[in-house]
Amino acid sequence: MGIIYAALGENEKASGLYIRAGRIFDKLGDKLGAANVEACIGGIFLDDKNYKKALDYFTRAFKIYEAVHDEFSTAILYGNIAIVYIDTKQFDLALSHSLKCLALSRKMGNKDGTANALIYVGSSYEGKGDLKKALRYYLEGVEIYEDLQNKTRMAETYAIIGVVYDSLKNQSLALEYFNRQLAVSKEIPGRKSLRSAYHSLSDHFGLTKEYVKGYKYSRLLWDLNDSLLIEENVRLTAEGEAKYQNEKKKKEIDLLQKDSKIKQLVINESRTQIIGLVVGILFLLVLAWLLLQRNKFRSRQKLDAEILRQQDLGLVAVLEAQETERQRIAKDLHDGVGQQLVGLKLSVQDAISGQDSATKIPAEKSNRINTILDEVAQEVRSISHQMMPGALVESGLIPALEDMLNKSLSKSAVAYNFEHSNINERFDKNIETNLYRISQELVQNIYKHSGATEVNVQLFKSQNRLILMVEDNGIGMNSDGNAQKGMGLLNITARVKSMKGELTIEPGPFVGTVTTIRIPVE
Amino acid sequence: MKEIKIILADDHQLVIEGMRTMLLGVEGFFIVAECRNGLEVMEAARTLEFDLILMDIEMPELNGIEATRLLLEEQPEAKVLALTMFNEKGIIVKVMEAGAKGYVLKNANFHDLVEAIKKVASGQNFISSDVIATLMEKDSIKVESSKTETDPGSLTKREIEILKLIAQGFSNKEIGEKLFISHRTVDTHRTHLLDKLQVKNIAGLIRFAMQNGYLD
Repeated sequence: MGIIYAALGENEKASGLYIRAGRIFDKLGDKLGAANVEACIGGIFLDDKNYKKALDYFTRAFKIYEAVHDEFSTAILYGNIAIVYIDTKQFDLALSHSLKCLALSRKMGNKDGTANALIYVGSSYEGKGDLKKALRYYLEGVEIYEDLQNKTRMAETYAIIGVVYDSLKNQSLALEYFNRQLAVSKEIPGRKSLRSAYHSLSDHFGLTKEYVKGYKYSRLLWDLNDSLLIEENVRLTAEGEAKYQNEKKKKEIDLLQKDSKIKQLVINESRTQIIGLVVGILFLLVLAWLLLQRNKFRSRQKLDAEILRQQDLGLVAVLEAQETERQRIAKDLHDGVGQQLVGLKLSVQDAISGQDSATKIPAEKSNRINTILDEVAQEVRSISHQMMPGALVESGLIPALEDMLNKSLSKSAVAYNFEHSNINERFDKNIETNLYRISQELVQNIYKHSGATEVNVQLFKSQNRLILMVEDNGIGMNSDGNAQKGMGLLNITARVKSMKGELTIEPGPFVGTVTTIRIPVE
Repeated sequence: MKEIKIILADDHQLVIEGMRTMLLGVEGFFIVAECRNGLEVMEAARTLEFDLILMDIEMPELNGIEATRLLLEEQPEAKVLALTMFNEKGIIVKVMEAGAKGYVLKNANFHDLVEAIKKVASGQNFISSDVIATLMEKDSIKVESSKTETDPGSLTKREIEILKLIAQGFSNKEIGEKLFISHRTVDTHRTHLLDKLQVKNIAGLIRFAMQNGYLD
């Protein structure tokens, strides 16, 4: 775990864990484990540039490694100690340790370690001012890195070699190594290597006074830094923004909470009033709605009643007009044409009887003339009678119905009965006329369509109702009860309605149809 | 032959003229007055000597029937012969009830009319054959109550209830709605009623109701 933390750069956490690990190893008596821990802690101090403490831990670990003859770890420790001396500019000590590290790494054939050791040796010579020796070790080291394709190390070493060549005033080789550094850096993910490559080139052109090129690289470096900066800034800004937003929201929430607290107070104070008010308003609304509905209902009722009244009035008017017209035509036929025919017949008879025997029309012919005149008169009388039966006006409903049934059915195969009860008075002229017309229509329908052999007509009064019942033994109604559609039934319905009466048509108990009409009378 | 003095009553000029011509052609017939309405007839009958009034029925002011009735109240021996186009039993009966002695249709053969005049004038009644045919027509039947034919005790309360409703002109469906029962149940009750009363139709049930005072 400590190694992981170290790799992640979380040195404090790592050292904490290492110390705990060390104690555990101590307790277990695992010397090698304890040495590893010491070395690791030393490494951490090295990273933190706390060289004294690093050296302390390295020395302690070193003693343990020597005791157990762990040459691999010993080599690494020589290297680490060399780094400490290089960084603290004790280049002689650094050189001796790095040479020991190199010797051990070579002995074990550890290429990585060897290359590292070569660089340490180079650095030590460079520190001592022997640039040529340093260069030799660097070049040898970089060769191994190139073999291993350790690009990060390659870039780092190219930079070091470049600087050395610059110091040796070999600017063309220096540039070549800086360019190599740049080329390798571009293959390395992350911008750290690239940045140092730009840095190296920029410095190099500064030294060679090639300022335009130098400017180019410093500009690239700047841009890179800028972009890094911008990225950082963006990150920071984003964080800041988020923080700001959070705070803003928090403030808003606070404000809202404060608001709602105030409101809550207000609400608490006036809750009772508001509830009262709301209930009151609701009550008023319901009341208003009810009133509205009632008014609507009333006005609709009124309207409906008025429409019905108008319809009834219209119906009554139409039926009355029809009756009046019928009566007028009937009267014209009866009084006008009919009487004139009587007069004509008398005149003809007079003319025939008053003639001389010589010019006398034969009896045969005069009889023929009389017969024709009789027939015409009879026809006129019949039409007139159908249109307005004299009996209805003179004698009332019962004789009129009797007469109607007789004229309609006495010469047919339909037998009829006409019974009446409780009828001792005349009724309103409209009622009598309408019931007569309805009966006429019903009897005509039965005669024409029902195939009945018997008709019963009953007219009676029961509980202030004048009731006309017409029953036949015919084929009856259709299943849907609309036996007598068409003008006939429409006419009957209209007439019943005009009298504010009721009409029912239903099948008889066994056969036929029963039609009942109830008319309210005083 | 004894002469006959006639009062002619008709509101149609053409008929009056035709009658006059024809009647004057008959030996012994005299026309003493020509009237256009019932009131004129009354006036003439009061002031003139006459044997017979030849009376039209439909006339303005006072019609033939009313005139006949009034005249016979004043002169019970007066002889009225109705001469009309109406061949309806209701009218014929009314005219005869008013006191007319004879009834002849205007389209009658003239010889029949002359015979009628002679018979009525001589104190006999005369009704022409076609009028007799009309009077022979089937009468309506006036059904009176309290002629109990069937003991109503044999009917259940429910049946009587339904019978009364039928006699009020209600249909099966309406009776069902009124009694809160289905129209099929009403149908069953009705069938029982038909069975018990030995009738075959609604008319029979209503007739029974009429006869047994169930109408009110």
